[in-house]
Amino acid sequence: MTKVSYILLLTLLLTAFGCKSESIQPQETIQVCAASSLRHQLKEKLYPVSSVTPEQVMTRYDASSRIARQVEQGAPCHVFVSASTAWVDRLEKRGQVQKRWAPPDWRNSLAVLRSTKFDGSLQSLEDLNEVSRLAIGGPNVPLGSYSREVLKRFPVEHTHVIVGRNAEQVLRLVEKGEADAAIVYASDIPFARDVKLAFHIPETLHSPVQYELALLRNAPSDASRLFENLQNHGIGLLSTEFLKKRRGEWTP
Amino acid sequence: MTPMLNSLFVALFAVLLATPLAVGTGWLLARRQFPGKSLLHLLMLSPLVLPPVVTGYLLLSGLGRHSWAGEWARDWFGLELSFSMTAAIIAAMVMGLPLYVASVRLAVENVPRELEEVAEVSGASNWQVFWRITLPTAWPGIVAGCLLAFARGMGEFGATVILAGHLQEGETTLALAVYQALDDPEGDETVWFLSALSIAACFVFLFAYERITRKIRHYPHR
Repeated sequence: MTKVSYILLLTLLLTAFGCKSESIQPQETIQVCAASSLRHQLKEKLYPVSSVTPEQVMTRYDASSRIARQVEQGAPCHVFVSASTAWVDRLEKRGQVQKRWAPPDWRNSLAVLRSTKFDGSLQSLEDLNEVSRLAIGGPNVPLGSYSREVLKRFPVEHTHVIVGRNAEQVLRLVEKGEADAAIVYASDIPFARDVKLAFHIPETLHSPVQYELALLRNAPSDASRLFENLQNHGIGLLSTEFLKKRRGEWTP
Repeated sequence: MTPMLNSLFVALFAVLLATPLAVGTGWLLARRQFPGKSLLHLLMLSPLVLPPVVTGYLLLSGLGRHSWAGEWARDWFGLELSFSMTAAIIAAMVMGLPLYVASVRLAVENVPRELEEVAEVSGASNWQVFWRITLPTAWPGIVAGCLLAFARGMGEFGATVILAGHLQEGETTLALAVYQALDDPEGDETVWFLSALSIAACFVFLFAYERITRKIRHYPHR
């Protein structure tokens, strides 16, 4: 075969593959990228009000920071659910946001969990000085910033603070007993294993933990509809009603 | 600058710890036959092939706070083998070890066996042969391995982030600091500064590496 035939064959193959992928995806999937602290709640709450089926939506969870940076670089994402409004601000400045909405009931709070392997007393923020290792979030992830605000008021001088990358890793650290205690989101408590709730941290000790939704540029019409549905119905994602259902046994 | 100094400190300590282990194992693999030799070789090389995150997880399982080794180190020496600077050093050491061992092994294999045999015939003990003949002849290869392990330690991230976590402010290494700065919406300047610092460090290191290896090539005993 000559070179020309090879090139022709290659062109034909490429065209054929191109056609195939078109025919497989008649409708564009809605890409939802959400903060990893929402992993357990989002699915449960998203579908009933948004008139979309699970097949239509592809959900990806990661640290809000990482999602935002990927979106900046052109990663496919239509609806971004961020654990901090700062990242939505950043994307908006770069012209990536069509609409944004901070649902008033999408608020979270913080709590201290203790490892089942820790047998000391842990009932108040002052007691955090008694643990040998305390896990908190990284300095620049939302959980870490809120935790640091609390620790500024209640400094831990004799405790070794270990740092997890995001909410999930902090939870793992205390579950595995690598830390005696950890500052986590209250919404994660019902899903934690091998730990005990020590106490809830008053919300007055840190800035409000506010989630925000953003409809991103280039989102298809289905994604816009999903966003509007959520806005119109409200979904009480992190409302006390949702947590109460599961909390019961988690009262300290 | 602190992350840079921390990285240097971690890589330096990692290499210091790895040296006796790498030289011993490299020599053993090059000069001795024993059951399980292939297994030891594979074990030594595995961090090079395994995803660093897997290596980190295995290390965390073996050295974690409630593992036997973790408890022993804490009770006897007050050392925390996970989520501490010590953990970062261990991770850097383990990740650099394959390169170090492979270099030492090759270097020792290249030492003419006759030289060692002459010394043995002249009545030198095994230990004397090693110190007086093998080590001085193989040192350029050992230095090259040492430099490679140091370089690996400077840039180590995957295993470190699992075994040492994100470390506290003031303890983070260069790679961890860049990763953390990416989490900050206002962190672009820091990311660029740390990246520039890494590139500068990389050039300084490669320049030093080139100079050292050139000197080694012209070393009179080779």
